[in-house]
Amino acid sequence: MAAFARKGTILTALVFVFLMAAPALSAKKYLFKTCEQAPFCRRNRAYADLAESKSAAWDPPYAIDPSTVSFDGGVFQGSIVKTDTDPTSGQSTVEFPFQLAFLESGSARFVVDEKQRVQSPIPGFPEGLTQRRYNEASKWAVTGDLTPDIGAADVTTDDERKNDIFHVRYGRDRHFEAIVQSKPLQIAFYRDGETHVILNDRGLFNMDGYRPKPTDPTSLSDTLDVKDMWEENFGGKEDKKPKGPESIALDVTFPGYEHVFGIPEHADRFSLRETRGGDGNHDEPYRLFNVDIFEYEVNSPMAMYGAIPFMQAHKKGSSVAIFWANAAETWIDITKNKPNPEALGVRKSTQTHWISESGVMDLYVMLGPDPSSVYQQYGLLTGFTTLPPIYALGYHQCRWNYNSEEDVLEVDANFDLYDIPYDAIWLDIEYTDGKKYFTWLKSMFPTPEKMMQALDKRKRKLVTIIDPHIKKEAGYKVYESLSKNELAVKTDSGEEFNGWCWPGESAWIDTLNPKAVEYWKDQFKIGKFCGHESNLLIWNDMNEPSVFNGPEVSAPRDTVHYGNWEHRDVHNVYGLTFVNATVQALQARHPRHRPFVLTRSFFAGSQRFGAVWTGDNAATWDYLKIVTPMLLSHSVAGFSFVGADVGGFFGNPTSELLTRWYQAGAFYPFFRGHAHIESKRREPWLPGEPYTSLIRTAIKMRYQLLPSVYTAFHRASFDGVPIVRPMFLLAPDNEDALGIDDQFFFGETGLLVKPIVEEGATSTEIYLPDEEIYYDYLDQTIYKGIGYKHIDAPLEKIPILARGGHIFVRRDRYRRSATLMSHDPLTLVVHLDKNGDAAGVLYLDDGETTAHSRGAYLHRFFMFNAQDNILRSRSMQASSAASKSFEKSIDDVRIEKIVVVGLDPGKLKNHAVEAFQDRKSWSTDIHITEVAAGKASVVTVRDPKVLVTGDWSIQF
Amino acid sequence: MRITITAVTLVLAYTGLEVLAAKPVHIRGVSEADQSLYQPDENGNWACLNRPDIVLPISRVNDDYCDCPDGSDEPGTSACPGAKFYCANKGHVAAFLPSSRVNDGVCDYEICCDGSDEWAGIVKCENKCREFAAEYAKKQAEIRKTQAAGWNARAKLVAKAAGMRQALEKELVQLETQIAVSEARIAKAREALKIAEVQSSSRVGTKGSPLLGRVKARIEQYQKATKALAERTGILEARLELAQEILQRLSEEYNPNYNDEGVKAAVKAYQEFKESDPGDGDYLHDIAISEADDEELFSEEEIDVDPDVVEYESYLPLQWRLWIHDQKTKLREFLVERGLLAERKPSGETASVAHAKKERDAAENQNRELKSKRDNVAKDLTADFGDDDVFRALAGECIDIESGEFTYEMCFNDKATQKGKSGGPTKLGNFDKIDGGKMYFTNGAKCWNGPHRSAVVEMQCGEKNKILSVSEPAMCEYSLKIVTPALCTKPEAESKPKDEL
Repeated sequence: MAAFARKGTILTALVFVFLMAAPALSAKKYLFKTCEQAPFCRRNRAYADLAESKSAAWDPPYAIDPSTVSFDGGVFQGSIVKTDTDPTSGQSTVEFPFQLAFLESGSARFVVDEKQRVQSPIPGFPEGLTQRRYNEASKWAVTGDLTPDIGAADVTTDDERKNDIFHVRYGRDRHFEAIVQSKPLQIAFYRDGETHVILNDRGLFNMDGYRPKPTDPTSLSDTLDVKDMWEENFGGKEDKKPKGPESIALDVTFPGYEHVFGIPEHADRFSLRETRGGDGNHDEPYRLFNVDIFEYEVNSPMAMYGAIPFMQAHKKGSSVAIFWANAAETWIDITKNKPNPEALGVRKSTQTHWISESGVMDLYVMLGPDPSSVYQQYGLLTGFTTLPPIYALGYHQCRWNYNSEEDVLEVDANFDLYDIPYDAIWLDIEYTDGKKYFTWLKSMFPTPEKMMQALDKRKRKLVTIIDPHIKKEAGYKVYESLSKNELAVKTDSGEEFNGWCWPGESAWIDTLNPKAVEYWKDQFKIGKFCGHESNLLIWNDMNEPSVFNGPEVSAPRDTVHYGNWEHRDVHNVYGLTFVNATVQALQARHPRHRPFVLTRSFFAGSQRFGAVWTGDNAATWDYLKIVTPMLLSHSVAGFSFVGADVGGFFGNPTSELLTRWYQAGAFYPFFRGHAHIESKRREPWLPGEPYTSLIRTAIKMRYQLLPSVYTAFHRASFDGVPIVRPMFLLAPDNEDALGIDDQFFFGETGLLVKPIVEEGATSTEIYLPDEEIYYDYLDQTIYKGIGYKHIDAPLEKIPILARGGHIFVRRDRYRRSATLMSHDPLTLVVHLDKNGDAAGVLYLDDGETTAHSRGAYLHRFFMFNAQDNILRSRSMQASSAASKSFEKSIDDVRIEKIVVVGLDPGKLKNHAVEAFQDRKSWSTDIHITEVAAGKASVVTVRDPKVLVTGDWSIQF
Repeated sequence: MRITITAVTLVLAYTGLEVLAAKPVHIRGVSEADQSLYQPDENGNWACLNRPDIVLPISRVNDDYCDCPDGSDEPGTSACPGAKFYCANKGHVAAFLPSSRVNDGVCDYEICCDGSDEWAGIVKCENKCREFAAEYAKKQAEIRKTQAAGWNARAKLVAKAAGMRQALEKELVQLETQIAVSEARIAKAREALKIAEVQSSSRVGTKGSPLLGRVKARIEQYQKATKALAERTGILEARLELAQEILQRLSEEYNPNYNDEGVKAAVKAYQEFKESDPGDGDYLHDIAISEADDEELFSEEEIDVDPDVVEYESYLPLQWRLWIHDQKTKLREFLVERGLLAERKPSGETASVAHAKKERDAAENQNRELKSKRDNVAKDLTADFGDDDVFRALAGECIDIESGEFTYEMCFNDKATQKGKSGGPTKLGNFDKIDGGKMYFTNGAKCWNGPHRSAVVEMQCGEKNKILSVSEPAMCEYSLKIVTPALCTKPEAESKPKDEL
């Protein structure tokens, strides 16, 4: 701030000072590194600049030694040798053994290690640390089958072999090919003869080999700067870097692809921007480094709470992806170029540059060919979204904080008073005694079990927050046991690491340690925490980890984890290991129940454990707007169960913003209202009319759609197709739709949702991505043809179009919570496509136990056939004792109503249709709406009395 | 155990009648009084209650499918949103349950003590009306007792308030009389003083010249000192600004998530410091006046003040002399106030002047006191003390409660306070108003990073004043629930014992 002129009155100066102090939301940028401030990023970016400046003359020092290669059992391996002279080590060559494995699951995996760190002990290597490069990111992230495909075939021709080229065909029907070239080092991946992914296309492959710290630092010289290679200091915090520089980097080109997606978490557009400057582009690379970013900025490549180094490239007719399995700090530069800028019609390619601080290089390549194949391939590696208990898909009410049992029960009662369903009430950190987890602030919560029983009357749940920082306090048994058993993260000298978080001085549980997981299970034991209550769910926050006084608000990188790995190696996976421990603890507590855990920090694979939310947003329209692209980014990167704080965490939303946010939130896979401790209360009944009724309507719409939400989750849980779906999933050939990130398809329903994110909006434009027929979900107005359609969107309307061709299931009766709906009849909603056909799926199980994994579920397929005008229900599962027993438990559940939109009433013989089930048939009444101009007819079948459990047909 | 009901048996189960049965059939979820609304016509048809145009076969009443937009065809099932389910609750009070709670697996005893809402058997809800009725009767008796006692207590309060009002009104009349008397006394005293002063003025001020010399020397001294002070102030202000800038930057850029108590305390203290700024515009203005005007004044004085001038006064008419006297007094007061002239020593006054002055001051003081008293009484009389003036009797009375780490105290029509085990009390607010059974306290101590504290006290009838609970629904906004006889209403005549059907 500029100094004030002496002459000005101090009063004016003070007024000005006060205005300046008005809250402006922006990240504390200076707390977090730029690429320039991260030496390994700076070096590798400079390396890329050097290569670019030399252009065709660029002669990178890395090449495969052809004498070392072999191919056997689906694995091609050998050594990459760096041959230039490194002045800091004096070595003339460094050897990096690699493996290129072609997996049965269809992916290819490229792993590069460093020979000297695998072999016999290196003299002078820091004691107490594992000598190897960190190679366990895949251990945490990847649970899938990594068996190489022995059918992968060496198809190298003699000509190719002469040029030190290796050529293999792999994958189903051998559609995929890889061509490895030794110098310049390059691996190109082909599908059906076309190149889709090229590794090291620009020669930016780079690995810092281990070198002892030189005794005379002035002897260092390099083409690139060598500053901060053996120690660095950021924000007054020292990083001892005992292993010295050990970065890895690789460039990956997606030829002909103009759009790439993924690498969450960033508050940015869905289609990733270029990062080397220019109009609308970023100047900084996208950063993956899990941090507690206070008041994050929108439209920024800055790192946030979680990291999934997965990137999908999509173009007309093709989708491919890569997964960079590295848990260290990672930066990704993106540029988009035409091979020849002058050439007309030549498509842009996307070039990416991946830079990580440490670890082995471990990269997976997935060749699609379409988006759902990519998601399946990625899910077969890192696991699929867990099928949550159905109540976790209802509405969650959270606030920092509900202050007492009375407070909790009053909020609970108000939901019933105002006739608004909800499923879980949340307690933030203030429920504890002095932020000591597993304790209660007894003055405010004297009988938590009684409170939980009261909630359970309406089958509602209690969610308590449990974070990884454990207060360092004598007499606090949780800490004493953690400390005594040495289960906390350690300093570089082997002491227990202590830092500051909510409780003050704390230790951090090291959940990489299996013994720490056992200890964690013990804390959650029945009778020990929350008595014997089974309606306990858990919220894991601050697991980046957030360390208030640490570098970048996190743990120092030279702290040490189980396995003698440095924190820098495991940083981005720590949050996942913590949730993993919590999930195991809840499973141990109630083995028959599916657990629910919400996490803030995440890594690839975290989708196996529960839900995630986008952290501390704010109550402004900008933050509502950025949610949709963020949900899309998480979704394509495998993390379907995602949501954002409805209403905005910081600040106070206007009633309009709050209403619009609930209308959007009803379609977030994870649907929770949350608010900061300094904000005003804003539970749905507080804004008053008309807002409260509109919010009630939005929440009820969510509950009405629960069977379909659950069905979508079931699909995500076995083939990885997300709940929030980008345009290209249903319209893969429309390249104009690739940049559209303010609308999405919702699950299997075909509902195209466009949340209103502008203040005062009364209408919007929805983009139809394909030539299918679309109906306004609420009034059946017909829309056709690719392009933007104008739709009214007054405050009381959520703009939703129903795409023709889909059948989905609703429960039209409103109950007080999701579980209380389980015996209610179902409504089938059919929107006919332009040919008059439609199809859809229903998945049902008991919604809370693990019995579904043993076959206790119902999976049905519905189709409406234009040719015979028959709607059929057919089973999609193998019948078993378990499935029969589940069917018996819901044999009172019938289809009470069938709504068919777009059926020509002229085709109906009379005001009744014939139903067939169990070799019986009967007639049932229908109701037909009169067709208005521009609108589709609606035929409603009145109580056809068909049961959901069996096959049936209805002849229209 | 759940009872399985297949679709085919549903219709019969729900209505339990043959369409043309002669005997009227009981419709589930409908009160006895309204059963007649569900009589079919001679064709066995029935029309939605609020939509006579929608006609259904009577078999579609309670067939678990919603046909009527008003929900009237499904009083006994959950099929229609917004419908009401009638629970007879025999032995207790009949009630209506939202039909969305019928057959949802929850025994809604609070409304349907007879368990009739869960007739499909998803759960078994036994009839608990007997115990609910007993409990209810007990509660009602308690409420009646409280109300009666509270009403009596309130009557006492109202009587007390009326007495207080009467006393105040009487006091007001007395005060007005006293004020009139005191004003006459002032006028008399002032006149006497003027005359005394003028008569003694020839003996005052003849020594003007040597006095002025001393004043001038003094002024020079003070001017030097003022200048030095101004310079020093300038330096200090510059440093203060620098310090403020540093603190400002700290308060904007620190990370509240760091939880560094030292930094938080510093930021908090700085914000309080900013809040408490007295504003120094006046001070600057004063300096400006003293520097600019003094010299002018004194140069005039030097020229104009001739020892003889004072003498002339004695030849002027009394009115003129009084005027000149006034001006001189004002000038002197001005100089004295700024420390440029020593206060006139009482010894310089004649005994008669001193005496007259004393009498005038006494009269004025008395008048001020009386007026202030009157204003307070008048204000008190027009203040809002609720219906029947009842809170007049309670004003200033305090009640407290321990909650968590704090004790909360609430004084009627005065203030609300939070007291910690250690540290001083924090004011939650001063009395603002009474509105709709709530007492509002506003403008309490400012919260760090937040608003001024405030408290809303929800009041209900009780025999004695008592705080039931305290909560802080949003940061620094407190909510107290209390009972007080002030809110009691006249109990209705005891209702007849309930119908034991």
